[in-house]
Amino acid sequence: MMRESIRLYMLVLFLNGIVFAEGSISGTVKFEGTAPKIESITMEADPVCAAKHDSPITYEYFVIGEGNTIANIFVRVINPPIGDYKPPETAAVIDQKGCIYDPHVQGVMVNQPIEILNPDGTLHNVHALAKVNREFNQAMPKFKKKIVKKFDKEEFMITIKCDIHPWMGCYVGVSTHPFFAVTGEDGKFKISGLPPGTYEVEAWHEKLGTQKASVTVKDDTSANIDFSFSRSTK
Amino acid sequence: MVEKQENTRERLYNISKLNVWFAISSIIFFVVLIWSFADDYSRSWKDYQRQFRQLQITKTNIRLIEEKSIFEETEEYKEILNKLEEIQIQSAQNIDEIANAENELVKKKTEYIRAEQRYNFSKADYDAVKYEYEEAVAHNSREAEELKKRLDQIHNELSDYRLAFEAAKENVEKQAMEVRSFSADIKKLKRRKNELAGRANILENKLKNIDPTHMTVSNKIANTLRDLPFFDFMSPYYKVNQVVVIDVTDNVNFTRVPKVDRCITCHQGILNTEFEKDTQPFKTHPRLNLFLSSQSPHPVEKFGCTSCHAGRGRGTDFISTVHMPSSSEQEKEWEEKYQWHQLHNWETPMLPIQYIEASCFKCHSGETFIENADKLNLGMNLMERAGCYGCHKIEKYKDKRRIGPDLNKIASKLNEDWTFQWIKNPKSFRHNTWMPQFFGQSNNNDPNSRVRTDQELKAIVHYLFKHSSDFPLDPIPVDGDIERGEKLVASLGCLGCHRIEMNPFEDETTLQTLRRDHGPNLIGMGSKTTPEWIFTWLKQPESYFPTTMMPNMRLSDLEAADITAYLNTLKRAELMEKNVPSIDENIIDEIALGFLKKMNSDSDARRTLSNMDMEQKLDYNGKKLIRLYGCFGCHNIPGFENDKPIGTELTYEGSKRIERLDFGFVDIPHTKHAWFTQKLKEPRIFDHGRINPPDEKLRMPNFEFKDMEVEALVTVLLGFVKEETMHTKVSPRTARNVFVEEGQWIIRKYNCQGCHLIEGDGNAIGPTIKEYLVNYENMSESEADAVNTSYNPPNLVGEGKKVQPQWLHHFITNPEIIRPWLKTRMPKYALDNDQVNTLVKYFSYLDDQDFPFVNTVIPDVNSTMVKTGELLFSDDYFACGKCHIVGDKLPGGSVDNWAPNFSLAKDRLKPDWIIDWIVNPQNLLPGTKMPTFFDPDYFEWSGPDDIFDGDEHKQIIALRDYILTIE
Repeated sequence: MMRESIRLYMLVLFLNGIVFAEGSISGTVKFEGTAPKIESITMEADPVCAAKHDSPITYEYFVIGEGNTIANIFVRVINPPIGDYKPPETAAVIDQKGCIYDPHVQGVMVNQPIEILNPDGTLHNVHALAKVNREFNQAMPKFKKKIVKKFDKEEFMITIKCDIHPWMGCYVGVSTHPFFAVTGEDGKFKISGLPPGTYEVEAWHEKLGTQKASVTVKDDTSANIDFSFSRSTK
Repeated sequence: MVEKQENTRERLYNISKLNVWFAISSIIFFVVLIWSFADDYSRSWKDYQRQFRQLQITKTNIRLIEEKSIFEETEEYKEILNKLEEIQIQSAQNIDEIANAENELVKKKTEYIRAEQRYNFSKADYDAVKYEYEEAVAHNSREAEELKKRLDQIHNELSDYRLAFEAAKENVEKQAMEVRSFSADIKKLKRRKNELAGRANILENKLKNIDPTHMTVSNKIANTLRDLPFFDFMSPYYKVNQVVVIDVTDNVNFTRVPKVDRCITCHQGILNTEFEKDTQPFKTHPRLNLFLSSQSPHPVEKFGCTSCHAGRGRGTDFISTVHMPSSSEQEKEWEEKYQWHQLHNWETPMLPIQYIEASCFKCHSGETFIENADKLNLGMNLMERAGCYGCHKIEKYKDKRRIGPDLNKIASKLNEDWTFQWIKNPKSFRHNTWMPQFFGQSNNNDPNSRVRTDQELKAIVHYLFKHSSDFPLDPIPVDGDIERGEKLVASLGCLGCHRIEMNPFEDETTLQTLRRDHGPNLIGMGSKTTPEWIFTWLKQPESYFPTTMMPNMRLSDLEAADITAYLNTLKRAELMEKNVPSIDENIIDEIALGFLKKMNSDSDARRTLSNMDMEQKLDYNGKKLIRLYGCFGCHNIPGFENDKPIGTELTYEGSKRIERLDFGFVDIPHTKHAWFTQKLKEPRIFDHGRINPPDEKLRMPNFEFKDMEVEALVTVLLGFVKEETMHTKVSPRTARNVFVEEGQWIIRKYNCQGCHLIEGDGNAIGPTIKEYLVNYENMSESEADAVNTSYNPPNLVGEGKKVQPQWLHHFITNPEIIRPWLKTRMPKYALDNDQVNTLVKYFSYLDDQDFPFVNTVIPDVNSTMVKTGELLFSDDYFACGKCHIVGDKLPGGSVDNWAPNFSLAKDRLKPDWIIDWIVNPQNLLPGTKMPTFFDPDYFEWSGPDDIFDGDEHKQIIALRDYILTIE
């Protein structure tokens, strides 16, 4: 009964959205100050990895675009509209091609399958240092091309690293709802599908910490909210 | 007139007056009788039981309503009710039919019984005749033939009867079936109805017993009657409940009687979890999993209540049970509410609740660590850290080492001025030192005493330095680097036992904080001693102090020089700026004379003194004062190697009679815990208002314990009781228990838990490792959190299962590098062979392993298993060599990502453990860097399919076998 009524409510919300249009939150994240020098990765620990790259690869913890925009910021709504959000059936992907995790930062939903790929033909171990979810540390030898994992609880952010290739690290945010986004190199993000209301928004960066802001979405407009990170905000 | 005269002559008293007096007194007697009867009848515990009954009724009614609301609303239940009603209506219509069938059944049953009886009688006749006939034949009697005829006749009858009886039986069954068919549905429905209403029915039945409004009329009458005076001897509802424990006895002067505890008479809800939120006396016991309940280790029928709580178990009212308030507020509250006062003639009043763990000692006194007794464990640890047994003999701590530093070679380490200031006020140099304060206390802080104690100190320092033996200090061979030294101190593991904290911290004291206080706070090292001493000490602590706890950190000269350079920068100059008074001859003379006069006449004393020069006087005074203050209780001091401790013996302090404690003029409650608390908080307080010569004053130094520390210490003191009555309850001294306890003792003594997690506790160093990663390895807080576990000293959970005892023995005596990425370093301890063996056995017994261990898995290098294992091991499959060192072949990349050398496995690891480890390392050691090669969620599909047809178990054994062959 309960579930039915929620579904009905969802449907109303959904229709509401179609009829009255949905709002969205978008913005740009910038980095203040001079961009730090990024070290390049030496892959001497594993020749297989080194052989995959012609030019030197840099770490991804500071990806700064033109106009000091910053990538890999995870932005999420802290107080989503009430609802029963189902995880998408399409799996999220973490690729380990060339011994680099791709993407470096991403959001998934609770119970959404995550495919972890190993196209390199070397040994990786996928060590998810989860605190709320069950921690796992799964080896992916040469013969294991793909494993599928799920996180069944909300958690921000889970560090995933490879103990064999210490430069490999990525972050996954596990959310109960779909209102999150990650900035690209242009520093832009957009969270859409939000009914009118006031939302708390959090932006996270692996080295620069988190920032919070509040924003009001009106009807079908896109509310704007910009963040700016600097090394002192850590 | 005459008659009257006669009367007076014959009787002494006037009869009619006498009658009146007799009447009055008989009325008085009658009233008193009624009164005593009433008084005897009215007991406070009955009031509590009445209240409890009311509480129970209310609770049960509420639960009943709740239960009913659950099932009465269900569709199924409603349907059953409807159906039952329908059937009842139907059966009313068929009433005649049913009645007929039932009558018929009764008739048929009667017939059946008759037939059966006839058959049985006839059978008996047959047997009798048969016997007679057989006898007749045997004796060739003439009657034989006749009997034979009769026998045949009965035999025929018998078969007929049998047929009839069997037919009747069948008839009954048929009829019964018919009758049943009428009621079968009803029965089924009723059974389901009862199932649904099961819990509610239980509650209803309970209410029928306790709630008069639910009782039948006759029960109501009985309920009133059973508790009336006179009738209540039979089976009263309100009665004294008691637990009798035969094998635990109470001392009632000159004899011992089994323990009888009547506490549950009033504490009626003590075992019932329904009363968790109620107030006393009905509240549920807060730790039923540990006490009282039959599944707990201390069931009430085997331990009673007063075994732990003390008090007078036979009492049945608030005062006579000797309840004791836990605070002065509670005392006031009780005085108002219960007119509470302490029954002084009962020697073991109830323990105020904050000291309750003292009772654990009655049975657990031999144990090193008492599970769940947090306060008691804290108290014991504090006692060991403060070294109480240095001055007070305590049987439990017999033959334990002196806890303070060795002063035999003091001159090589310290100078006289520093030593003077230190003893005078140790806390001003190090706020959290364990060295207690002897001077500036309430009984020696007046101006005269201050002048005198300064001179006492001069003499003590003089003695220490005069008798100090030479200790050559190594010159520092290389220049140390301060920054490198600081990093080493932060990473090597020093912080498992030491802090470097300038300011006092208000953390609550726990076993964990005590672990970090195991060694001194290192602030002020540079002001205290010289770089050469620090260097020599770091390289070889036991050369300066043979029984030190400081282990050998296996430092290279450069490392030791670096650390020395860093420690030397830690200065505390303030103390040194204070003035050290010069020697005052008069006072030195006065002190010496005082001691001399103890043994000699006044003139002899003066003569002896006049023959001494200053040097001799200082030496004499120093020696006498060190003995007076008992400095040798904690420190090794030349000349005091065999002196007996100076304090009161505390072995049975908890059983001490209260009269033997001197309360002096201090206004505190006359209880043991109040006295102990006062003494620990302010050791000299009981001198208050007394006029004592300097050498007869109280001497216990002030440790400046925090309130919670005092409480923990008082708990231990109250636990030091002389109690032989509980011997049947003491946990058995099996080999396992003995070795586990001895092992725990060594682990505590050497503070192994400062670094390692052992039995799930310890790793006090953990937070400092994270700080190190953030400050020196350039990690963010979250990164450091994520990898912290793998940079910490190893968690020793399951160590007994994991390593071979021979190897462990070797490792403890000669540590080697196993985990190349660790910055912390396993030090070398000055343990003797017995101690190492105890530790090895401790780990084995703790994990219930066979000891000694015999290795039965010795794989053949040429076997298929080993060959296949090697294939799995290779880069084509699991690529184990990517991280692990294999013999002398190193993996690529930085040492931070390497893993232990496989060549260690053969001698180090137990073969069974290797299997468990490969199956799922996270299970054995959560957070380990070793990944799971076999997905625990899909184990059967997780191995490579082309080896052993994908048999994961076989693959793992093959890997293990190969690993065991690696040299």
